[in-house]
Amino acid sequence: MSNQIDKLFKKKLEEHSIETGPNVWARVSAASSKKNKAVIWFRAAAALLLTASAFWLYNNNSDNGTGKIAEVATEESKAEEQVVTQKESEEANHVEQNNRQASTPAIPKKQTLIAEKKSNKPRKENTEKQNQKIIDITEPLEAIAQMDVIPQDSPEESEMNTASASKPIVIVYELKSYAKKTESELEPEPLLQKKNGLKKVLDVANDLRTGESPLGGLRQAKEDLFALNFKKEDRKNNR
Amino acid sequence: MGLQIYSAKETEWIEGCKRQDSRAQESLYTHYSGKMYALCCRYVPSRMEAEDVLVVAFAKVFERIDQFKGEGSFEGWLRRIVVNESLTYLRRNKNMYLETEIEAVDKSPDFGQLENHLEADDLLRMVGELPAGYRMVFNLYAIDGYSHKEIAEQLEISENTSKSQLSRARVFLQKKLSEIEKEVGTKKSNGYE
Repeated sequence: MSNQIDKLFKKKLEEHSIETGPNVWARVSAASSKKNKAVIWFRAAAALLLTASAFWLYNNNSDNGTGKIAEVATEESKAEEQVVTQKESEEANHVEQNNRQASTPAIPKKQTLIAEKKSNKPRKENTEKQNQKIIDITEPLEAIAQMDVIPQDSPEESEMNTASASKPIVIVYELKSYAKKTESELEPEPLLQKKNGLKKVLDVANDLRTGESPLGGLRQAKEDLFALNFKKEDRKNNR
Repeated sequence: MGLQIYSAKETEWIEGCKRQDSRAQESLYTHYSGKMYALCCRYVPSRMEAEDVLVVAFAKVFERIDQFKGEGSFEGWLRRIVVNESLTYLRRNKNMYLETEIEAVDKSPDFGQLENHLEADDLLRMVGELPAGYRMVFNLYAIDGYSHKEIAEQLEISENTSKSQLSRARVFLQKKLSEIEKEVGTKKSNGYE
């Protein structure tokens, strides 16, 4: 019975056709072309945005480029020098420590190791605890262990130390000793560089350091080049 | 032979549509719009609303024509899109699944006689009088050949709901048919007199 109802409706209605109104095709084509247009507009807008941003970037570079790049270049070289000196001083500190450790008996060595280990996992421990530990270590060590601790995690630790106002004495001591050492250990750098791992950076630094007068000439030449390039582009733009 | 020529034309239209050729699109539309409109009317009884559905469906067909890879018939692919669009339209309405009880009719009408006297438009009107939930399931199952499993997935209902909606729809239509049979009978008897 139910099959008969299904059959009746299927037979009569499956292939049934009703004429659409006259304006339906217009609506369909408008709707589909709208979508196409939307896609086209979107693509065009994206392309325009890309080219515009590229042009802007290019223009920005070429307009202010010469001055800025020259400045940046010099700054970079300066920064490099600074970094190198810092690193060198750090390394010098290490070496000095090693020397000192060599001179001092075996007990402080172990203690420095402990200090390093603990300074490697400062986040897990509470700041107060850490401070206590550091103090515990530093007391028998006299400056040597602290030397190890300070340069490796100076930002975190200094923050932590300042955060916990309970033991402020440590900071003062560390800072003084650090400053003193960096000043005093600038001289033996070139000897130490080959021994340490940062060979490449240090080689470059060495070049920079030893050849200060030729480098000045090089910089001058570089700036001249940039200036020339800037003039060329200026002419192009004027055209 | 005629079928081959026709299918060659159809592939030509499809290729044209893939190039966004508006002539090919129009040819395809003219060929299928009547059937697809009737299909929309089965699901969405209001002619105006059915037209809206048709417009959206054809715009989608032209947009996604690249997705038709020639597997199966094009008309089948087209029908699925139009059916889906109709269902999407209906799904926006709430209270689709009415559980109103319809009194069963003892007498089953004479289907042979009804088939001769009833026009497609009469049946279409009857389908249109079905509550939306019954109508969807009846259309999908009885006319468009979907299984209860497919219907359950499409409408996000259980298979049992699909089955119960179908049987209610059948009862509803049977009642309508027997009413019409009476009318036909009286007309007939009037004619003889």
